[in-house]
Amino acid sequence: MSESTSSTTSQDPNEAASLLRPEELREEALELLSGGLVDDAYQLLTATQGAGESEPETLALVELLRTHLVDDVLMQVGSPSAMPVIEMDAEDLMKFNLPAGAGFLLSRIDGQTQVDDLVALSGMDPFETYHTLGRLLEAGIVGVAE
Amino acid sequence: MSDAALIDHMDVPILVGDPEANAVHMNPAFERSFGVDAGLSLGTPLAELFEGGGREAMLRAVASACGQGASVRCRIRERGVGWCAVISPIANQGEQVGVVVLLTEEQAGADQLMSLRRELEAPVDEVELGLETLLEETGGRRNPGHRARLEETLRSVERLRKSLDEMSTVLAGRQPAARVEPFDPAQVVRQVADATRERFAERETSLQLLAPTSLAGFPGDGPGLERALRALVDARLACREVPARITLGVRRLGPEDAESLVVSVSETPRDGPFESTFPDDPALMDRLNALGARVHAYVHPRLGRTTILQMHPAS
Repeated sequence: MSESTSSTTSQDPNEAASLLRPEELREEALELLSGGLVDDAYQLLTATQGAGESEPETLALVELLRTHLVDDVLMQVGSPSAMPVIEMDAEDLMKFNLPAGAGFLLSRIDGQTQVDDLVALSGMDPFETYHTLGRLLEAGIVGVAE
Repeated sequence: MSDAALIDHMDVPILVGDPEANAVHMNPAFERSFGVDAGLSLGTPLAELFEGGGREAMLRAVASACGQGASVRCRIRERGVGWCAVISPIANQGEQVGVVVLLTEEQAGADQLMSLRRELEAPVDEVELGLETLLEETGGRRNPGHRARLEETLRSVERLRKSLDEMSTVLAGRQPAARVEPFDPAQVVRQVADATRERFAERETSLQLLAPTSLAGFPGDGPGLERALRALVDARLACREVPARITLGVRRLGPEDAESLVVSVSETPRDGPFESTFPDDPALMDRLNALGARVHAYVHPRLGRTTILQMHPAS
């Protein structure tokens, strides 16, 4: 997955975000957003826990980005009843530095479980499930069963 | 103008019940004053809309009014507010077809009591000072009996002062106090989603839920949050141009020792930029503020609008 996520800066997002005031952070995030980099904007705002999110305007923007990221996943898969499938074999998967959540979600994907069931049954936070699924889709690790 | 519409424009809380004394209509003033949502409460026995002693009093008064076929008055106290209720049967061609309850806040009495309390404070201070002076100058050294009587009187003054303080607290607490009990915020959001699902279908708007199955108990006014969130969603669905999707989200935010609760209502626009930025009803904002929620709305032309309610644990 680390192969596929886009990034506008080589600086550690935590470090970059901690140097900015909330309004600067929002401006930066909106700039990323205007370039279509929704996930990067979200990462930037949430990189430093408490710094940006404690401020209402930033918190509201984060909520809107979360909603958009979920909408985007639903648009990619078609509907909540779509069934994701793994598009790679185990050997290819090893090339990705998958975080634990992504690995767990992959273990639940069998081509017969709907997206909404995955969200309900994974035990993960619903947003995190959608977000992880979105990244797996973007990386081409997961597709949707015909 | 229909009777219901007329009632809805009155500032005093009014309830209408059917012959079995179940609520069939309540005006917005009743909803505001008693923190009740008509959409959730119609069909409920009238008495059950009140709590504690008020419920008992209302039950008796409604039964009495229906039994006698005449108006009955009763006094109730709801969340620290005193109300005078007049319960009247509604008759049509000699047949009893329902009951109407009109409530007036006992504002004048409370104000008078507050004024009396202030007037009593100065004489109590003077009596106490006088007794202490007497005790110091004459009581103690020469006459033990005299001293005992003075000390007893001083204790009575102290009890009087405590009663005045309690009276002050009761009178100051005339605003409805929020219920503070741990509630499951995820369940609250899910209940609002369930209650509004049909309305979503009617308006051809999809409903997305970003809520876990459950969240740990959060101290606050859960029923109040549910009513306010429901009203917020209803307001969004009542718009002329409804969004393509409304997402209800809930999550906890921050470290364990300084956690807050974030509830969001996010609207995804249909084709084209999001333009609907109508101001929320001030009564709804009052209701949200009464919960201790920090409310903030954010609009982005492409992403839509979100309204967040951030709450901190109530103490």
